[in-house]
Amino acid sequence: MLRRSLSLTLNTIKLYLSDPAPLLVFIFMPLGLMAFLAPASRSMLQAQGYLHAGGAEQAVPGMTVMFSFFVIGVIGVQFYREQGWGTWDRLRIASGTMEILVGKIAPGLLLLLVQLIVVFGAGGLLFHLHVAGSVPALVLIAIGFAVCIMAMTMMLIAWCRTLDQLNVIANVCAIVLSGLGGSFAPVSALPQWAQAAAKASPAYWAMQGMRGIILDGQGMRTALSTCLALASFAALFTVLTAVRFNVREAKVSET
Amino acid sequence: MLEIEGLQKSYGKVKALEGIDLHVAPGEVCGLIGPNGAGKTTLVSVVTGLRDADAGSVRVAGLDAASNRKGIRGIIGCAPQELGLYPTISVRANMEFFGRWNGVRGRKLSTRIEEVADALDLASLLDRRAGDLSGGQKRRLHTGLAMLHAPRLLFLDEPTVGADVVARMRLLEAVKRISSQGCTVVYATHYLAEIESLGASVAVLEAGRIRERGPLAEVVARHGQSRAELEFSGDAPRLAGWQQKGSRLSIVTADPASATAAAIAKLNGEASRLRGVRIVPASLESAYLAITGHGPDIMEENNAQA
Repeated sequence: MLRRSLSLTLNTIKLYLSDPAPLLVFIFMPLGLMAFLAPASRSMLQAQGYLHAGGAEQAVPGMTVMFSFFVIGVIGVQFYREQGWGTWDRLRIASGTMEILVGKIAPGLLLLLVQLIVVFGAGGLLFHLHVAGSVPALVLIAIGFAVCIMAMTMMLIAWCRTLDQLNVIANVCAIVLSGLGGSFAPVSALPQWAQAAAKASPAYWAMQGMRGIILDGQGMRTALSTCLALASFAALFTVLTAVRFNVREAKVSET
Repeated sequence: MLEIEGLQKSYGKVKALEGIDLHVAPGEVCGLIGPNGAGKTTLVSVVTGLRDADAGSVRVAGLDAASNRKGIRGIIGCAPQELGLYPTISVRANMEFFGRWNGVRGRKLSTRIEEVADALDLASLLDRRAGDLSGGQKRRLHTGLAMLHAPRLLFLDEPTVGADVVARMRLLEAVKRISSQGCTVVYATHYLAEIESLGASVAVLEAGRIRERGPLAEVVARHGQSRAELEFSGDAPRLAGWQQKGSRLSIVTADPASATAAAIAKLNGEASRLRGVRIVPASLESAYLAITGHGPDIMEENNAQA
């Protein structure tokens, strides 16, 4: 089973690389936005008492988290195109559902991790991000967040019949959930109702964990509690996926 | 090799398969023919595991398909009706992936890619992007992807749609070759001449049921209708036993040559207006039309229009 899933993983990576434009956009665009947001973030952080903050402490994790949601569409395309290209049935004739799912989820997860690490790493270097706490703890949160986003992607694929539906919902989620979660501005700067709703967003937990490590010098304990919260979201998304996912359902990749 | 018993499948209230019984022997090429909506694609989908049957059983190489799905996967190859290939990567990359996906690796995979590419005239296209191929080339690649793991039972669902004459001949040659090597082929098509070219046995499917099944020669002998046609300048004369339509006389008979000779002898003075004689032997086409209840009229109308 693993060899077959590995061959599908490698083939899917080949397909991503055959059309890398969307992925490159979602790597370079957040870096561009960080340049605009860092100065504004500096004033907000200084107002919160982080007097030596340069703004990257908010802008880098904020844009990284937000653009991870946008990658849902890029990963989703590879599922819908399998059907549009007629290859989904070919895969099914020769193999079981689990082999196909593992072979398609693994490259999606890898893509999310690469995007998270490249955007966070490049942003950190370009905007002189100083991490007061544990860097391995940050990596652990990145892994937990990638798993959570991948589970959310599978849930949306299970429930959306068309690629257009998936893209619209993924884009709305990217803006609403990351905004609520504190990607644009610290949650404490949001209205009361938004602060109350923020905990329903996985972005909130990821941002809180990253801020704790970057600004407050926290470590693995924070990373583990953050990953626990993200794992709860992932579990919920997986249950919702299991309720609706049907390997035989015809998906529409083109309008 | 393939034993189907009492297979049923419905889509809501529409019964696509109503108790199909079909046996195909090892090495046999079975031509699956029938009108659009007869259930050919549903039958292939159920047997290959893409859809579940409502009732009935399918056995492949002695294995029950419902309980041994994993076991029969390596035995089956299938090129579905809809094209299935990755357009953004090369022909070779498509073949490498689907070879691996079907369990072929290493040197054996390289050899099989060469063999299949040669057989289907794809060798010069291996480094082209699959999406840049013509319709016929894509169809050949699509079919070749199902052959890479040398399956013992191969389903080809309308494999020559969009293929030009040469591509079609190549594909038919490839099917004959793999059949001679012991591969059983179920070949669904609307092109009856392909069934004749393959020397395949015939299964006529209509409204979810097998209407006729047997070797090509037997099916044609049982249902095929030979006929004779006489073409005149001006309106054709009336002749007992012959059907007159405009300038043409026609008759459906087991012995069209004798009927023609007898008719010409009876023409007397009208013989000078005779412009042509055509003897149409019994064929799978006429047998198919008889089985599906269309009779020879539709063929005559078609000839008249031609």
